Amino acid sequence: MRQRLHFRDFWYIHLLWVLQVMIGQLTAGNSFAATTTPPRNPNSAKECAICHYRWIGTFFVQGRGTDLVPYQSEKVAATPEMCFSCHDGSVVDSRERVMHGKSHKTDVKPPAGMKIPEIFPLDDSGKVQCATCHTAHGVPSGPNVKETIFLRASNTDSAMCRMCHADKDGGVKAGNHSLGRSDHPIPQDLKMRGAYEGRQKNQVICETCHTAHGSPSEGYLVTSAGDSGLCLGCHGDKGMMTPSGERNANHVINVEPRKAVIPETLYQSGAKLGDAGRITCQTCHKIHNNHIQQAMLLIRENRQSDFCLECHPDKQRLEKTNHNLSISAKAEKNLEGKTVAESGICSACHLPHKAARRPYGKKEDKGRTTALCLSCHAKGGVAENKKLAGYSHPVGMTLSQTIQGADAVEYRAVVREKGVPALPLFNEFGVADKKGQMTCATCHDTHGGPSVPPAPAAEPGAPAAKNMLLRKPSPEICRTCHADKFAIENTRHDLAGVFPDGNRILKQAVPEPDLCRNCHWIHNREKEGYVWSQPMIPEAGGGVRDLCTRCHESTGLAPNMTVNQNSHPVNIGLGDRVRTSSLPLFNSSGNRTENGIMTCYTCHDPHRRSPVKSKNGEVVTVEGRPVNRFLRMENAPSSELCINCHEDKTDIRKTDHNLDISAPAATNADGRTAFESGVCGACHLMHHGTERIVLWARQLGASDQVMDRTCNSCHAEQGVAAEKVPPVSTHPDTIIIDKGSDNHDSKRVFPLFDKKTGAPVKAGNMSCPSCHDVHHWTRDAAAEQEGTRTAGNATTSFLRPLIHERVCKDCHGIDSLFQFKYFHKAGNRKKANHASQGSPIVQP
Amino acid sequence: MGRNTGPGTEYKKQGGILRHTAGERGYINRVTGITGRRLRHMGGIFLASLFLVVAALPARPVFGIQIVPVRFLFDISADFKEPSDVAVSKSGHVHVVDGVNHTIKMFNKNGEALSSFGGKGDGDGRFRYPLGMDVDAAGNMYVADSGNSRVQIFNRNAVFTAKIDLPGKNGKPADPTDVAVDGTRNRLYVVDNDNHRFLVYALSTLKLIKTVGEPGYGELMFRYPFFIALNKEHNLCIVDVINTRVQVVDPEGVFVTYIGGWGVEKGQFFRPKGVAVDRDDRMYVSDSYMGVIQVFNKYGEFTGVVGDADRKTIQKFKTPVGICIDDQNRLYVVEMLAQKVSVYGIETTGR
Repeated sequence: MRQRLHFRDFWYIHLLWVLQVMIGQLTAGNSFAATTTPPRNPNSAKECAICHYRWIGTFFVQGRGTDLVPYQSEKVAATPEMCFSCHDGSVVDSRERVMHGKSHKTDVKPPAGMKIPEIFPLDDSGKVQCATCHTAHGVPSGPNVKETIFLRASNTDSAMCRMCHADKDGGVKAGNHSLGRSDHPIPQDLKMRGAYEGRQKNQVICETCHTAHGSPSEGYLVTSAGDSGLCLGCHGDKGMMTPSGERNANHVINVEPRKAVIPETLYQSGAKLGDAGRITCQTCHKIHNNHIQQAMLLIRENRQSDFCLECHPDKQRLEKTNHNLSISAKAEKNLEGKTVAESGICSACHLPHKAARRPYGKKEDKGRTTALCLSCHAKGGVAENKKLAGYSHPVGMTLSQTIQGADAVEYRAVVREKGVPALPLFNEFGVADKKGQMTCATCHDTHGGPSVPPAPAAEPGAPAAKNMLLRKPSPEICRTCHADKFAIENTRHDLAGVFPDGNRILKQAVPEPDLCRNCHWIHNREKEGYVWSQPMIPEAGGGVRDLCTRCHESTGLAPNMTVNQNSHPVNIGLGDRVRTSSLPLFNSSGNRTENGIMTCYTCHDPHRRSPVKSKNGEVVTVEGRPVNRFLRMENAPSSELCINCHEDKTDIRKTDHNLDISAPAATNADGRTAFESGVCGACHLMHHGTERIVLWARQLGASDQVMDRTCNSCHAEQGVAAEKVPPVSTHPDTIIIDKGSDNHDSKRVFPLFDKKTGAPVKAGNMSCPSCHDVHHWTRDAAAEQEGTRTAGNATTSFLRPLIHERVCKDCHGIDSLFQFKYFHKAGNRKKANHASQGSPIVQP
Repeated sequence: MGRNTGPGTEYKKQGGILRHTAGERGYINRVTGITGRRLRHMGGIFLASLFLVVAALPARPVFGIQIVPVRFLFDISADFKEPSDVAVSKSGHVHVVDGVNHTIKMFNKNGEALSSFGGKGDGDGRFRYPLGMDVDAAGNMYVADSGNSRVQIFNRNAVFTAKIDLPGKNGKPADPTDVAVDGTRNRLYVVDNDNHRFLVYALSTLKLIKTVGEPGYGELMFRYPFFIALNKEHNLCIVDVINTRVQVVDPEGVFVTYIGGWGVEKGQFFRPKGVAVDRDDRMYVSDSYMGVIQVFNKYGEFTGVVGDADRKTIQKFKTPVGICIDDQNRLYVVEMLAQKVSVYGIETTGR
């Protein structure tokens, strides 16, 4: 029931109303007369009502609204609209801090167990509101004493935060990140993001990491820890990242756990993954309420590398190997001065935030990974008995360098599986990187490869098992990069297959012979190049030939396939006369170089019995023609290999000197037709020719000049060119001087040859090749017609161009044309001779 | 009692004057239960008392209010983050200070986006929480770069041309919240919010001429001056937020008058923020909490509230802050929490 008012009540109320209205006019001012009665002095009612809107006299005393606004009956002093009416920049600019980002939870009940001090009022339903922490009547102290943020209690050094969040206090002893003075300066960048330090310099407080308003990140952090950025801001000394932002050679962060498997138990203990499921500092460290391992705030104790092995159980294999220093070097200490017994098997080589061993040499020499291996496997190291010396398989090169490097054709097949190298490469910081370099760890899994024998554990000092620490067994690991070399299997160069007793014959001790190891030893060789199993004989010439002749000699494994003096020269530079477009040349160490020397390996590929090219590393086992075996290019019937260097001889294929056209049934000294031996092979044999001169492949004809005898092999009555035997083919037996470079455009246009050896000379009598270039019917390419057998004239007929103009004229003067024209016609030649006005013949 | 917690409550029109329904209910409730003869006695006493009250009142209607009619044209929205001020050039280009985006955004007269410039930082052409701006007759832009304690100047093509690093006071950095350019008098006025003053610069040399103001309640005293506009007499109209008034100062820095005062009645302010002057020299003042824009004549007398021209109702805004009136008599209102600028045409009738 509504209580009824008495007349007396009305009178009192009315009188009060009159007074209120009259007084109100005096105190509130006259809006019409605003310019004459301004509020010049502090107005206590206004100072409160500036936030306590409902206390404005119009509402609170008069109990009404106005033409502008409705009556206000509810508290709005701590509503966001009221706060923002000043924090919009007109008094304080909190636009971004309050309106954007994450802020301390409001309108929620505190978690169970959290004790909220009485000075922090909750609302009627027990929930946290803005007013729980803030009041306009608060103490003048923010995170540091310079600020006033209207808190109910001083938050100097985060004191107020800790009043409610007491479980986050107490430092590492209580399982929390330490608070107080720090050795680490709080970075300016972090301060720019809103981090505060306490009253003392570098004093860590709650608000060094957290902010109650405007956090852009999880957990009300001033910046995200999801990429470890917050942690590394202060803990940059942990060496997790390089100055340029690359991963360092310590425990990885900010990568997905591909190689490690984080067990569920760690997640249950508080392990967190960061952005995109990546490993962060908080994957290993729990920085609040850590009751597991306080010293480092780890999620697990790590006394014997237990914590490491939880995520890296595959590394447990190390226990069975000599890389477990508790077996091989119990007294060895890491850079922290601890033995394996003291800090676990991982700690001998790995510490999560710094190097465990001092790298051998300069890291830029061979890369950090290799340098770490050599920290033991070098003189003075704990594995000195397995130190590396001399020359080993190269390391430190990238895939791209390899492709362009020593043997581009062969190494182009360095494989990738699904876009990543089949074997790991490492960057300069020792971190696996598909664009990185080859290191020891590319082939060796220092934690124990798949061939590690199962239990029982290796006894101390026991010899290493076969392929013990290789990532794949040999020779399969070689195949990973050198798959194309495996075409050697079951060829005559497969020593194990063809010469099971080969190692004994060669007097070489191969511990575990296999397809590759019979010829190549990976470590500790005496000379660079091909990691050859045999000593590199310092014979004049160079290394590569020596590799071949170790077997291709009378006492070797291939005594019937030796090379004699009638063989194509090797260990020579190419000079100006020939050039190769794609065949490899080598330096004296056996490494490919553009201006190197020609060796056996220039023409031969001992790993491949056929020059058929492989694609994408596919092994080609095509048998091929006998003459093409182990050649880099086909030589029959196309003679592609010869032409690759002797390109100027190419035209012979269209002439009658291509015996495959003019005498297809004719055979060379090897009994092969031109089709079987190739057009070049019809006349030249690279090994075991009948004569050293031009590596002649046929029986020589009759003449007193050896060069003429090569021609007369065919141009004789019994020869294949019997129909083209000139009546006379010799020049009077006089000495001619080849003025060549003196007066014939510096070109040797009229070669002279030694009678006996066929060697080029400057003075001598002329022979057939002096006038004839047997590889060209004519220099006019358009006139070349394959197998035409047309009669020649003074400009064709395999003649060198303008011979009569350049040479005959030297002696015969104006008569030279006749001398030239009738050279092979005895009658005419004699008739014309009287007209000679040339220079007298020079006597030797 | 009605539960009215903020702007937006219903009004109704009676005899051309608006009356607030909630206010009526309040009084009606107070007299509920008084009936019969006693009521007649009460009526006589009431009339006598009313005479006394009326005698004490000024000559104005308590519950009536005049509307300054405006007609909504369009809104400008462009992913603003707490925009604060707007300025319009002679060519009709609209410039909006998009403070938390640290940019100035430009629009054509139809509100279509043209370009923007700035970005967070402290280099030339960068901003840190800018708040106010002005445009001179040539289209040059003057931006109060609050977080960087400076004013930056750009030409009409938004190319940075100059800056003024403002002096602090007693160790407190300058906090420029708005600028006003007076090309006629070669002056650039800068409001220093945290130091409760304004600074006067020579526009041609950008040299400081004087500082005016101190914290306090009296003449030439401020408590958080915020936005500024020039009236037709080139006087400075400075919104004095916590003193809840507009203080008018002449170009020489001499106090002229106050406009407005504390309260929620017409002509009074609770959170005055923006100020603009129309071509008739009327002053418009926005109140971000009450959500209204009140209008005063050149003598400082309250003349009405911006309202809808058709419905004859007060036009309510959501946190109106910076306002501007262009040569076309368009009213631009930055509604900060609505993240927009609303544009109205001011009707010439109904004043």
